[in-house]
Amino acid sequence: MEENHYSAEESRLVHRMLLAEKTAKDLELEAARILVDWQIRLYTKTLWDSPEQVVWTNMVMPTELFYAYGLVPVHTEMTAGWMSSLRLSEEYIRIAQERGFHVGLCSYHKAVIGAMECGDIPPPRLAVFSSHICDGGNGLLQYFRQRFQTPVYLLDVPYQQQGESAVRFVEGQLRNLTKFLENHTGKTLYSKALANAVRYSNHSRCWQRAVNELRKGPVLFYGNQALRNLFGLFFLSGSSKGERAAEAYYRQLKERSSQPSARPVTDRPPRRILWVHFAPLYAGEVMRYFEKALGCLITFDIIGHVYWPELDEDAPLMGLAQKVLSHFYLTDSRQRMDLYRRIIEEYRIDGVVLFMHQGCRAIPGASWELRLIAEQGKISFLELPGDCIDPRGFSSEQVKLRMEAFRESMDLHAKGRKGESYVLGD
Amino acid sequence: MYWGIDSGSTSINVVLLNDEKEVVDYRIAESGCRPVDTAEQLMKDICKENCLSMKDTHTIISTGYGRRNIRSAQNSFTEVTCHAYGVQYLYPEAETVIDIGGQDCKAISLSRDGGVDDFIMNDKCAAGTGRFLEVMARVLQMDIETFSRCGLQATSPYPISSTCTVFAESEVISGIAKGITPENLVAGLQQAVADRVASMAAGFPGNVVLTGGVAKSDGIRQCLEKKFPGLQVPFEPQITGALGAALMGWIADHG
Repeated sequence: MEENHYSAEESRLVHRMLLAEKTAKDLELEAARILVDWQIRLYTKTLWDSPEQVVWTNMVMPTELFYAYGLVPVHTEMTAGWMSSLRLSEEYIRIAQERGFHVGLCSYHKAVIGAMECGDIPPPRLAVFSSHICDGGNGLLQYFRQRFQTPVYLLDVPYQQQGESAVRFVEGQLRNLTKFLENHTGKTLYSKALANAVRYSNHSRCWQRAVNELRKGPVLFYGNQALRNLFGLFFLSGSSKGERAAEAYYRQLKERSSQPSARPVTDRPPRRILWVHFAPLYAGEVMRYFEKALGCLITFDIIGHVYWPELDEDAPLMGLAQKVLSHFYLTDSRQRMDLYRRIIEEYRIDGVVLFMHQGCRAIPGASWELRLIAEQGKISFLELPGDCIDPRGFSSEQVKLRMEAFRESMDLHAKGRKGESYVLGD
Repeated sequence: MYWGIDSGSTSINVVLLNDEKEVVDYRIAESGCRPVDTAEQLMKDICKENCLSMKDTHTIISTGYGRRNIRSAQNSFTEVTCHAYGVQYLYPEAETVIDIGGQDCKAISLSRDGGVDDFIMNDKCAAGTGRFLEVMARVLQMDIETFSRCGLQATSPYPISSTCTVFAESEVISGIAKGITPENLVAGLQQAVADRVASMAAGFPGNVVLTGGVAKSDGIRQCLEKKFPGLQVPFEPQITGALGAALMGWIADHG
């Protein structure tokens, strides 16, 4: 494979991000503005000017340790999400497929590979992934190592193990990770810095839990914004910016909770939706149609669920191990189903949408759980097959048809329920 | 009176329902390139045939792929909801609908209150739809009526492993080259469609009604009867969507 010259000036991703910067200030939620501002600087400056500070990672890897080292984590999911929003993912995925990455592989990974292959983002100097949830992560890590000689580290997380031995097992790997990071960055981990990161993370967690409490009440914003922008909060866990964004998120929603006029307006009587998995990031218009025109307000999304316990400030690595192991996709099916039932009840959900991202095994593979819960709870369920990143094959009309049928089925359920006044066809 | 117009990808189906919720008449025509004009013509035909004036009818509800193009419609609903209502009108005990149309197929689990409990649609591919069968009939140089019955004479259905239209076509061509009889090829194709559609409805309750233009294919029906004993097919399976749409108009007025 030919070698590329990497330059921010020639990167299409950088160019489009700079264009996006102009509209970012119009974002409705302050937390989203903080996050987008940080992400734009990350992709247009840090990645190019300070590559030695960057560590590539994946969604479920705890970031507190990186921030304690003064490193800047860059997430593959967030990167691919931007590529999709900026209408670049199709080209990058095509390039990756031309390099032999199969059409069935995850488009998040292929978009990142394609962008690196064509020189629109520089290759990673360092990469640390966690093995859980995303089975393709290790494959991407191995690609980084072979293709770019990137030093890589895989956090090997056992499934369905939350006992003391599992915590010790993961904690031991996190300890080894500190040595790996020191060897490859020359940086030292100061206990004060780690304590600060843990504190920021815990504060951020508290704000996010408070946000989620507010989301159990009246819907305060169009939830597709959370799917699009606010999941970035998790990538800032352990940073002061993360705490600031989470606090801003809470304060703005708190203010809205006492201002009914600031809440979302829908063309049809609103229904409360739980969205599972991410959404197609290139299809903002369809998501807005779902919420505004069909009145299907995304009241809560599973990505926003704060699943982990407060981190132990006196034993930070153990706390991080517990955080990793507490992910609900590591637990057994019964526990996960109980969690979904609790969310449906607490957030007063009328219907559940599962976006079946192609190439993902973990979440679509468990679709039967949601179908069963919906059937037992007599609520509407919509399984939407598609791809969050790859726009090829996406038909907005086909997706809208399914969304409309889902809305109609919710109305009919509601009509059958006592006390509902909604008239069919309103 | 209540019109239901199902503007589908391959056919336009129009049903007229009276105030007593009885079917007055119906028409089916190819969608062609001017489906809106076709729908209007079908409505005029029904009026003329039944000595009615358009003024006698006051509600028009549309459904189907082109439902938003029917400008005269006061309201529209998706074909998922309309098929559910249409089938429950014809078969009150029905629990599941399998609808195989020109360009999509769907399985609908019906709720006891007349609506939809759950539904699954095929992905964006012609496999398992009327279009798939039309392509295969053309490859085998048969008209669709002959094709629909031809498989019933099969002695040893030739297994078609792929439900991708393009790959299945190449399997058929390979089969022809091997000397497989048309009857056995057609039976294999019909089995492939039935398998694909049946898997969509597998988790739904067993009292199944088959609708859509493909329900007129004797071969497909026979294959699906083996999978869903007691499978029922309406007297005119192509109009259940339009019937459901007309019923939605009736319900809006009568509750």
